Amino acid sequence: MSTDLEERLAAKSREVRVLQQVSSEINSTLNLEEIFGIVLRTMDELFGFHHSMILLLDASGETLSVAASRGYQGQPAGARVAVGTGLVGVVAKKRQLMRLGNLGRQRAYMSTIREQMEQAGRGSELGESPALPGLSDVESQIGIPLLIKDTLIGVFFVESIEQRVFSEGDEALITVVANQAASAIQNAKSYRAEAERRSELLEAHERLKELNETLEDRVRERTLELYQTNRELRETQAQLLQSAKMAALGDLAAGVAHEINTPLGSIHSNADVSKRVAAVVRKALTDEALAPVFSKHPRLEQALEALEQAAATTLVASDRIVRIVKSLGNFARLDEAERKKADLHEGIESTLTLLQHKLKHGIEVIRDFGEIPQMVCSPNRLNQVFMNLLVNAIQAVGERGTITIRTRLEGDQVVLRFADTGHGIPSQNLERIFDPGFTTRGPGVGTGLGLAITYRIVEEHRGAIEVSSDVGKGTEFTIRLPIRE
Amino acid sequence: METTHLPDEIKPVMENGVPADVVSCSAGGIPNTTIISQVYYVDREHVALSFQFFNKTVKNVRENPNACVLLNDLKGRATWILQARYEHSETEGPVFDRMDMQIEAIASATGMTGIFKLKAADIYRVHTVRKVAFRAESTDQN
Amino acid sequence: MIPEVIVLFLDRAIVAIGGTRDKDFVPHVHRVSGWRCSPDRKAITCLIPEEFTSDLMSSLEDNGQFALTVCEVPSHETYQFKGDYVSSRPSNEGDVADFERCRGRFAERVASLFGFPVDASRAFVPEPSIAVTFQVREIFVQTPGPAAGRRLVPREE
Repeated sequence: MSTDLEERLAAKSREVRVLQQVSSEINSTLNLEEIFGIVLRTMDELFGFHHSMILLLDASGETLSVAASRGYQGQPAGARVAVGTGLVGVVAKKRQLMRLGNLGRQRAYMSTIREQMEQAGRGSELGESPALPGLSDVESQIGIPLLIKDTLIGVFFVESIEQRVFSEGDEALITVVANQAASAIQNAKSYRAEAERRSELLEAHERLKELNETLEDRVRERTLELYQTNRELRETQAQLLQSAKMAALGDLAAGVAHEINTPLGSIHSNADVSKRVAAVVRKALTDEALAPVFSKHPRLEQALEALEQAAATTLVASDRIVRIVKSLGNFARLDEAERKKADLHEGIESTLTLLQHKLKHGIEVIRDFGEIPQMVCSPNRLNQVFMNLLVNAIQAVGERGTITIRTRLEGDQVVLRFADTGHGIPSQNLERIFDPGFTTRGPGVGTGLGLAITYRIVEEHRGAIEVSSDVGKGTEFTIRLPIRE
Repeated sequence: METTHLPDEIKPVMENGVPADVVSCSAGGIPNTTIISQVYYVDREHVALSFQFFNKTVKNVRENPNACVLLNDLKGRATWILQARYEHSETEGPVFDRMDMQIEAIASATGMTGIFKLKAADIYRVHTVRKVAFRAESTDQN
Repeated sequence: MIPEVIVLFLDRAIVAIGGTRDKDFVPHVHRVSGWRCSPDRKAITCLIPEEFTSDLMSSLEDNGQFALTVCEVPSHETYQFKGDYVSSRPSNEGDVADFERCRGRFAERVASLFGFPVDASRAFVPEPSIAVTFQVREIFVQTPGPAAGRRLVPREE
């Protein structure tokens, strides 16, 4: 009796020692592979489990994979079993320890049935044996679920070619070791996951830094793009504004012209009347019969002279006003679709009149007008052309110089030449001079659209415009317009 | 030796994997003998037989609940004879689950999933347990 | 009549188990240590050890019903015979040969298949004390598989 007790005590002490050893070894490492090794070795030492495996449940919860093994020839690492299949799969499914024995007999029994079924033509109902490679002549197996609280993380699996009988005490001990193993495995996995996450974070941080730098570059690029777009937008806006101003101006001019015409007519005709009255009086003054009457009024002669002077000045002035008003009227005709026969010289003169204020004393304007027929055109549009070219010429000439306007009929084309003795245009700019937005005058000064519009208007008239220039000598614009429609 | 409950020493015999024998009797009085692969220990008063296919034993005990079970203990050179009565069937619960697990594990390990499916655990109450030891050819009592 | 093929089977089977039922319809089991088929192939004689004769005779005398399951390992080929009690007598020297043949087959098969020591296996098949003969009325297939339960003799319709 006492021997039995002693034996039992010794066995228990041994168990406790082994458990303590396992515990301390397992908890001394966070390395998964080391933990697997400790568990499998301990089970071998404690229970003589020479062939064992640790299978871990994958993320889907549907498959177990061999994570470590001991005692097998061809190591079955990586082999997979579906949950529910075989002992391992059933242990995973039910989360309970399970033993199978007499597997040799079971296999024989099953193979009889398989044969019978095949003979009865029901072979197709038979499944395949699962793919967990293990002992082919296995007799007993035990599977223990590795649980953290109620969560299954894997299965510990042992098999033997011998019949193994486990007492309840054995099972309890195995379960304790398995639970420790489960904890340790879970910790190691968490640690590994943590380490991976950390390195991922680090990587992400690096990428973010790179991205930030790239982002800054891109922001700079974009800012520049936006700035340019903004400028373009402003220019277009200015052009639109210009067009609007021109339209408003045109309307105003037309209105003013219309308003002035009536009183102007009165002034002109009155001045004319004054002139004729003065002539009548003058004639009367030369009559000798009326001399004694006029001698009584010595200042009559002076008065008459003053009247004649006033009338003449008024007529000149009003003629001038008429011319200005007419030019305004010409210029104001912004109906682009209006095409009519027009005298181009009249258009040029109108434009020059409007630019009178800009033509300083140092600038000489030479009109070399040839015989050119009236032509069907858009007079207002052509006036814009004249305006653009003359404004450019005046600017180019500056304080002193000459602007020459030459018109000729050459074949079936009217050729208009606008030349100036201004600073000229460098050859590299000549190509781009008709490009919209091209200006040599710096940002904010003009829209750079004048010559582009000129080009377009000439095109509209199925004509052509050329430029030639010598820096320091001058520039000449040549416009050719076909007479025929 | 005869008892009315199952002793502890019978448990490993039930798990030794040696086929057991069951004799039942129809309502008409015709006995039926059969060999089964396993008798399952439930508790000191009960055993379970797996009902996988409908067969004569299953039919008989539902007409006449009396059954006689013989367990072979090759190592122990003994047989155990149980007189029992069929009480009821279980299709769920710990006994069913245990049996189901085992059958499932073996079936799927041998490619017989679906063919070997536990329909029910037939629970029998044990009346008498008799151990029959054989006359040993040698004096070795083990 | 027992088909020839079954007779041949009986000569290679290694395990047999007999069953009776008493007047209260309580079944009883009887291990059979040896068996032989009658020359006219209508009956089987079972050699039953003393340890397993409880309720045997009382049952047979009450209703004469006897069932016998015979199995061969490792093929698991199994048949059940049902029939009517004919006679019984104590086993004699004439039975020894059959008994020894059956026991020998059992021991040798179990030894070769399961590595069991031969003498232990032999000890598992005790010497018979009684020989019971019954006339075979029906034979059923009990080989595990889709055909289990099918009646062989007389042929099922």
